[in-house]
Amino acid sequence: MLDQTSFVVDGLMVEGPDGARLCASVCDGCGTVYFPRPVSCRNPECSSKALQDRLLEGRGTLYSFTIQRYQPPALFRIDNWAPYALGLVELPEGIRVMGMLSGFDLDTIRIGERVKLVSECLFTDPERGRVMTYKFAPDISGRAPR
Amino acid sequence: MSKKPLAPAIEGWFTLDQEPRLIGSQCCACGTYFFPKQSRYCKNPDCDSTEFREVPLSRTGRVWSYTNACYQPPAPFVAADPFEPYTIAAVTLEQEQMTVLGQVVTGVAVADLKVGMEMELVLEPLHETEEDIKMTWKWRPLANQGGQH
Amino acid sequence: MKPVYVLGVGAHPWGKWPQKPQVTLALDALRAAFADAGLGWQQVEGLVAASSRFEGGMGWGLHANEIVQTVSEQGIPCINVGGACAAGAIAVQTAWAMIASGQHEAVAVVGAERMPKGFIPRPPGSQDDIGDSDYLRWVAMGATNPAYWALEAQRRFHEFGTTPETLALAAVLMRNNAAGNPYARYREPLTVAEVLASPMVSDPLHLLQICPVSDGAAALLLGSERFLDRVARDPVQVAGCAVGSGQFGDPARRIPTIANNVLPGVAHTSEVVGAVQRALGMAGIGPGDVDILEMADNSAWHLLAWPELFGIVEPGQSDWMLAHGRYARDGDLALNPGGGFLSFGEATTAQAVLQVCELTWQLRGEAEGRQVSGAKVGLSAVLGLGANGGSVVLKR
Repeated sequence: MLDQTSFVVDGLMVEGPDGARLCASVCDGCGTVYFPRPVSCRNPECSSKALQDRLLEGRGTLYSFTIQRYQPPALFRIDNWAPYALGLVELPEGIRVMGMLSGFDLDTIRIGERVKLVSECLFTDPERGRVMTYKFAPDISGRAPR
Repeated sequence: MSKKPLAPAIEGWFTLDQEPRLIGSQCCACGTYFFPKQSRYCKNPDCDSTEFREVPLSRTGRVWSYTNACYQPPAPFVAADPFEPYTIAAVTLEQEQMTVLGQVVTGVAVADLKVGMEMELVLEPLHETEEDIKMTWKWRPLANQGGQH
Repeated sequence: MKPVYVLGVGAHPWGKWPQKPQVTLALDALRAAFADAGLGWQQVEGLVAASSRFEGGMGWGLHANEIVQTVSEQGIPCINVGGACAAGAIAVQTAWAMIASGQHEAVAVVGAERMPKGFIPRPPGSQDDIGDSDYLRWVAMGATNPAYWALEAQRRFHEFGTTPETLALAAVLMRNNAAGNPYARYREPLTVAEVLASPMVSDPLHLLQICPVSDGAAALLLGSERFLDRVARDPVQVAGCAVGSGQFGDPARRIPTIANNVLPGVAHTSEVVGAVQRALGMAGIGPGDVDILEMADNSAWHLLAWPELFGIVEPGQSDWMLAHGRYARDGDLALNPGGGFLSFGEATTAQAVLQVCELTWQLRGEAEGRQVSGAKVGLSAVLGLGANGGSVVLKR
């Protein structure tokens, strides 16, 4: 089972040939993009409320961040616990998404840095194999989306 | 039943004597009785008292109404295995002007009860734990039914 | 609408009270409020309770019913309101409306809480799947509540150049204010150095910049003009009161969501800003007229941000105000003169009721050990889970 991978929550993300993508929705009526996928469009100006699935590439800029210095309580599972960075990322779709940061030196993170979505193993479980979550890593490829 | 020691199912709600009594409280100001014990505030809207004395309640009263439990209740009730239906009575204590609910002793069925029947308080095992036998109060029809209604 | 007055206020000191059930804390606070008003249950025509999810209320949030069944069964309406940490403000609003409408002459309000130790556990009945934000935020990234406030604080550092020292000063001010308050749990004075030396929880928030949880209870008796001559002191009037919920596009990092849509022109923490604006509007005053602000300081960051969000000062001006003593009890705006959540620890549903108690004591000149001199207008503001906001304006 250990060569198997799963995501930490069903419906959160997918892993395709081009890398990780966030499972989002877009409203046909007002164009608002939602993550995670909501039950309904929440825009009070919108009467359509018809949602379509959309995958987000997850390239954006770091809007804010913090360092999680204490291990969060039981629902959170992680192998080899160590303080980690948690970021708030501004995506071009008009949405800000929280997520763990990867590949940053905790002492030199700066607001405004360009980041991209990656998928990383949080912990390994005998039943679920390698359990993955999404993270944001420095985007060294520049700004052009693939 | 085994030879385990007897213990009250709920501490402080009744005495463990030969002739057990429920332990209630009485408001020192307006005289209202309470069971279980009230110790901080009197429930009587016309009374501001916060003083109570602990009092044993009357051992006997009259059936106000009754029913039985034919299906096993959920936890925290500890049921016998297999479940045995039991009878429940609401008994009015005259002096206290209070109606107290309780199981009726084993072997007494709904058909054996009548409104107005005189009942007395006894203790019977409720269930057994590893350490002891948990006792609770139950109502038992008085052997000599004096003034039947 | 009829004018509504605060006839009596009372509280049980904040702390940890393992020997006192939640209902007992509530009764003690109510008894104090009635004694303060010189009235009793006989005059009370309704009870509004903030529903706790932690204890009491027969497990259904029926805290008002539990209270009257414990102390005085007299047939009055029992209203139980949910609103998480804002429930107390919603209870005040409900009681206010019951009197302002003319339906009742005197209505009591209570919030009482005993909090579980450590992290607040998830409520029973929620699903372990992507539909539950409070599940998602834990399993996908381990985002604690302080992490949400830390993201806001870090952003403030970036936008306004707020320094760790200024952020620490906010916590120091709260302790200074609490030093003379018998209801506060933490009263030992602090220094900036001590705050910065306390363990880092979520950068840039240190332990002493995050509100802990406590047990406590607060109660009010609100009434119509009919009771004014029976209360032998200057009346404090509920000049405004409002509750609200969040706006779509609000940029605030709302617990426990992991993402939000941000639209231009939408107020940050819109549920609270909206409630404050409506309460001030009802009172017919502007933000600059406020002498005392009693606000929910879940973290030191809130103390800097909220006076700006409410328009009392300009965005980014709080740092200067704080550093120059303008938020102190003798400053332009007395910010949480009783010590705030940082000195009390949050007893969730009781907190917004306590805010109104504190404002009343201050406006009457009865806030011994922490009095703001000559205060005439007090404003409260609180935020609760589910994007609940509440605000009350009191006037002397």
